[in-house]
Amino acid sequence: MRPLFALLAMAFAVPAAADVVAATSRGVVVAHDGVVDLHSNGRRVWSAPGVDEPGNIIGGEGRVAILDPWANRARVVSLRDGTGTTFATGESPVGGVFAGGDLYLIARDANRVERIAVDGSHHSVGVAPDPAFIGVSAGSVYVYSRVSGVLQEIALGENLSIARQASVPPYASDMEVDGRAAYLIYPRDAKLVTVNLDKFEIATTAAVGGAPADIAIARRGTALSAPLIAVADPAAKRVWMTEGAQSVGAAFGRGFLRGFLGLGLFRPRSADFPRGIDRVVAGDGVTLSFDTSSGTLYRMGRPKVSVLAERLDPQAFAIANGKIVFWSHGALHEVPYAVRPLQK
Amino acid sequence: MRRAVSIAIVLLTATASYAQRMASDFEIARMREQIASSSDFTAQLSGRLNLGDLYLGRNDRTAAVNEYQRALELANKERMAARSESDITGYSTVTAYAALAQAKLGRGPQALALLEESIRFASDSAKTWNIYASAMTLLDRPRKGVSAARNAVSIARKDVAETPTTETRLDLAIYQHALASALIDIDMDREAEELLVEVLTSLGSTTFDAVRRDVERSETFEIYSTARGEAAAYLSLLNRAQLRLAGLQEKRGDVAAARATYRRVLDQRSDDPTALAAFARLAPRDEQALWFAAAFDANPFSLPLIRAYQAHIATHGPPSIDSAGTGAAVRQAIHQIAAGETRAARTALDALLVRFPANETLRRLRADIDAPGEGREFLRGAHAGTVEATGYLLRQVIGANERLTPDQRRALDATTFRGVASFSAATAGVAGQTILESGTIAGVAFRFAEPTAFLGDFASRAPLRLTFRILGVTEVDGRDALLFEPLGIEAVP
Repeated sequence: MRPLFALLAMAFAVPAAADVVAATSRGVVVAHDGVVDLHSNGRRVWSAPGVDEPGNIIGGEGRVAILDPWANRARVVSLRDGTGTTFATGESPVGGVFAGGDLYLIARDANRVERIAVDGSHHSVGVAPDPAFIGVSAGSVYVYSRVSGVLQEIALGENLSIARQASVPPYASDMEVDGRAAYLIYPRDAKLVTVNLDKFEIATTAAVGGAPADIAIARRGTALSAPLIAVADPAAKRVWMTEGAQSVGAAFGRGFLRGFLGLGLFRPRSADFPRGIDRVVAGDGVTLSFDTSSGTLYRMGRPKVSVLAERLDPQAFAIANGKIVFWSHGALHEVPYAVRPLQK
Repeated sequence: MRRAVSIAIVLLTATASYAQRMASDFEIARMREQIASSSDFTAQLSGRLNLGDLYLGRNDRTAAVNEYQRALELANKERMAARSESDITGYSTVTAYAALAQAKLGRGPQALALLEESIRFASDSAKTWNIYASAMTLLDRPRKGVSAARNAVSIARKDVAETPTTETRLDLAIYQHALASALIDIDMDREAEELLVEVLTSLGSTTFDAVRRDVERSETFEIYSTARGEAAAYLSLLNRAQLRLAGLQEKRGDVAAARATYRRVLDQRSDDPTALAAFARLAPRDEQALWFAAAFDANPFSLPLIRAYQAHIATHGPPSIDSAGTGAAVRQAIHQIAAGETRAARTALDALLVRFPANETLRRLRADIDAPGEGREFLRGAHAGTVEATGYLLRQVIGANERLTPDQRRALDATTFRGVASFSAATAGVAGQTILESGTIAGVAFRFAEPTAFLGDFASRAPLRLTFRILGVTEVDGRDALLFEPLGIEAVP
């Protein structure tokens, strides 16, 4: 191979193994290079065997699960000391949640939801084709099947079963569950659909930006206030902020969504994002956005946007207890921030 | 607004198992011409991917990797450009192509990451799911491939129901073929065969009359894995679907149906190497040599074809070679290897390697000759009595002689062989003795270290049961031969 060609190939290469970072109650968990580490107070607490190609880390009470969708593996480790067990899963475990101490994961290409109980026992239930996203609320697990356009509620009895299901628009690119609402974002149709999980029906459909791809709950809803939702829109090169459904008692009665209330909140110049941003993470008054095409991590601030890191993996950053953390060049980097509640 | 990236490219499952013909010289020339004459992204990309597949079909992995790397570079540049210009659909499409290039380079997790990125924005795109399926099937992840292909077929069926045009029907057939390919890899042959029959029925329907007329008018005959335009896609799909179906029919033992389907492939293109190789397997004994010759002319570098041919000549002996060309030269080298004529085989292969220096099949054959001996068949009976010396076994000894390990050499030295020999000359010695020196066993030449007198009257050319040890390899009349230590001889009743 000619040297120039080799250079170009290297410049565009995707890292051989992905790095994944997650914030937990005991510190920051990093899955990288076949191991999983727990970092706390600026030091590595323990390091334990992980998986070869981590795709996602699922946080739970005292445990985390590292998913490997390439090899169909889930490694569940204790946050106390890193001891754990590796489980074979159905094809392509791409997401999961902990509920009642058990791990529920979607084996997307097997069209199943699997439960790995605390005692290691394994159960599963078939769901609609292409289960892409999973969320948990009030002790129930919700699965959105993307190509099918079906939202299903899983009954968490001894034997898993489908408790309810509803038709929703297919082809969403993300789902978040907060309180008794599920939010689905659609890049092609540029809309945000809110599902009332009590009635199990679509509550609202709102137009959002140009090609919204990712959503995050920037602020949880309370009895008095609606949740605040951050929407990453790579076409508009914007992060939109909007209110979600307020509460079970009030939100849907008020005819939400109210609209894009916070346009001024994070509306940086599009020149701040040369290639746009397509992922957003929010919490604790901090909003991070990410450009997957270049691996650039931004912190959204008023009035300016700052670049925190470049050439990161899409899951290699998190917001954790007063710090923004990201894994880069084999080390965990921490950027402290002052906690400041979001204001409308 | 930036121009939309065309996704008219149709992707068929990888061609690794379907070797391309030497007549693929034509396809290679066409792709080079396409790359040179068009700056269009899809023309460049499909050109690079097709070139890679064509080289891979010839087992020229170095050239193939080079083309796939270039395709990846193209796609990555286009990804960045698409994002800069807020063309999210284009970004999604070229990200999928980047994934496909990574898959062809064998980089599984990287390909998966890119496909997941692509599908975030385009889970409603059957074409993107089809690329996903093709990449996963290539990477030996057929269950992921099946799932993605089912998504593609599901979406395409809706498209056909809503808009039943030639284009949507052709797209559906392409995705059904991809699904069938992935299903075959997880042994779901029945569903795969049903899908392929549906594909071929659809392609044979009046819906595609205009496309067939276009094929005839343009005299199109090339087969590509990444085809642009309906005529090229139709023709390539027809070829691949028939080959897949024939393979399944052959697998379940319906040889008549398989031959009929392979015949239809050859009716479409007479030098299809896969169909020719199939006929070499399935034809009556007296026709097989002709089919092998044709298959080698179409693609001399198919390793499965070479292995099949080696088995054929081990059973039936080498046929005469009447033709010239690369295929004939490779067959000649295989004959020489089988005959234990290792020096001649090396010379022949070295000459071919001058013309095709990166060809992995030729290198493999060359390495086979020079490989260190492991688990030699002729040593299996060592220390366990007398080994029956067949021609195949003796040729193995000749071929392996220079590469035996010390342990293997000791084992060979200790082994007693027995075979039916025909001596080229028999000279009367003192009373009741015959002096013998050289001859053949099953066509393999041998001689003793010196003329040896045996008790008894023996005639030349008469079959004699010879018990011997093998001392090494020598030459008789310019050909490789074995040097024996005779232990005994007796007439064959």
